[in-house]
Amino acid sequence: MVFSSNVFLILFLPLAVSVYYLIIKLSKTDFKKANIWLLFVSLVFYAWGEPVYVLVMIGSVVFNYIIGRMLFIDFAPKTRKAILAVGCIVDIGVLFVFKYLQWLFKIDLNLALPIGISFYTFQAISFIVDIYRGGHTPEQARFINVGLYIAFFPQLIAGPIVRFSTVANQINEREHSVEKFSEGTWRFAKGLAKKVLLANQIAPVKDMAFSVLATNTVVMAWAGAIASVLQLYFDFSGYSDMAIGLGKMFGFEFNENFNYPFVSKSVSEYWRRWHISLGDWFRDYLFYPLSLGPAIKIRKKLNGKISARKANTISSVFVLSIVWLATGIWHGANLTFVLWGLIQLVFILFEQHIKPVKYLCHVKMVLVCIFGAVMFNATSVRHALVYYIEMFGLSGAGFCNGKTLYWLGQYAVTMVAGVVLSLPVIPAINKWAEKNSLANNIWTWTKTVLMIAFFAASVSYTIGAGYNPFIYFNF
Amino acid sequence: MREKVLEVLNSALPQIDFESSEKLVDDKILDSLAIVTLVSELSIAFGVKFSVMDLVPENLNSLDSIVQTVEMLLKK
Repeated sequence: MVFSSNVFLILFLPLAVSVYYLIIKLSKTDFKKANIWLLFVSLVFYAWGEPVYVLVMIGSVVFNYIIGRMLFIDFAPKTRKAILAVGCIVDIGVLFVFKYLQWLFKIDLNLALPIGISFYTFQAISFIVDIYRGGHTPEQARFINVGLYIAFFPQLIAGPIVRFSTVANQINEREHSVEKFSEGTWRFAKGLAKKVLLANQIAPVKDMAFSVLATNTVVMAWAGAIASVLQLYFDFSGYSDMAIGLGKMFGFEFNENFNYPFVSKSVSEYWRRWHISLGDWFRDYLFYPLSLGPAIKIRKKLNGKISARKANTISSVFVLSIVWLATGIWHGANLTFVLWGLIQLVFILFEQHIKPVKYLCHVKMVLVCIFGAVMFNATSVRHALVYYIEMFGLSGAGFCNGKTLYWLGQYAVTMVAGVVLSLPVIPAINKWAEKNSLANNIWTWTKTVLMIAFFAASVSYTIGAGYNPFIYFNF
Repeated sequence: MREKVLEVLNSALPQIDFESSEKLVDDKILDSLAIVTLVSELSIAFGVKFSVMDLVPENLNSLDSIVQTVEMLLKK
């Protein structure tokens, strides 16, 4: 089931919310009962699209629950480490079988990718690692709690990747208020509008440009690449808005997943603003453990043999290479994703040694986004290379033609709106309006009217449109 | 101890003024790469062993908190 579908908006969500608050009211805020309901509707939500693979997810919940309980037993440190290792190996192993096995060994086992497996596997690993690291109680890791943490429908299939330590307390006890609920619905409506009115409307330009080989004009190739950046941003950040909004409607507070990434001055900063939950996950569960383990050993071995600066560079290149290879491959089983990860790595390494130059660093970031998006969206490395050739006008298709102008004419307004709204224009107006009460009132009313109009338009588009899945479901 | 820690930090990350802020991590003056460099140099200089749980902002936000963390690890 997707958020931008009729069945979700008209049937599933109203039912899930109303029964939830009925349980809260009748049980005098008994979260155990309310959580059972949330877990039940989450399983229905997943099984709606994955009637068979829901068993894989339930298997993940049961397995990680058992590992989690074992980690509470007072075993010797080595035994605890071994239990954690078994948990991580099995979790990664299941992901490997479904996502990478057929691609890596060029075999066809007729295994489809279970929706959202990359997201819920990372949450499952977060659960067992957080239990291993300590600071949690067995009460927080009850079966229903673990099930709800991994399977909770707002973040189940496309994130944000919520950390167990973030929500462990909230699962047992959380606050509800009219303000929080209304904030949640507002956020959900904003996300839906981003998805339906921007991402979906910009998508045809990208689809058109990426569906042909070597026949795009220069202008069309650039428009397609820019459209792919915008579509991915509004699609994914829209989904995150909806997930965060839905979480609030049920009393949960999830961490933010996007913070206007296109204002970044460096690739490192970009990754602190884009898919924040994934970057944080890799930092805390891969980068830091590798840095404090093998990398420090390398650093110590090199101590005194070469300068400290060179030794640190070598150990950080070692760790970052693994992290960015993993980040690339996490997005999909394709060489294009590996290369896309390596592009990020190369720029991050260069940025360690080159000071950012005003304005130029923004230009560099925009170009990294655009060229990176081509690799990200291409079906193969060859496709990406041909696309780059088109962008530089070397394909022989010319600079611009009537077809290009037709496409740009059709989508220019949406594309410009997309570019403007991808930048922190709204926060800037909010800040400006705060200084004057009349301006603030006018702006608040304008936003409310616009949001209602956008929500109505989004719903009507959803009713009229066919199946339109989110891009990140495939990861 | 404070002087020795500062000397190690200044030598490892000369571009960062460790005495300028009480929110080195929260204000993103120290990013994850800088944190790792800082931790490896302190590990070598003082023979201490950091764990991932030690890399929380409270332990690294200021020169004083870094000194306290090293002292705490030396006692372990």
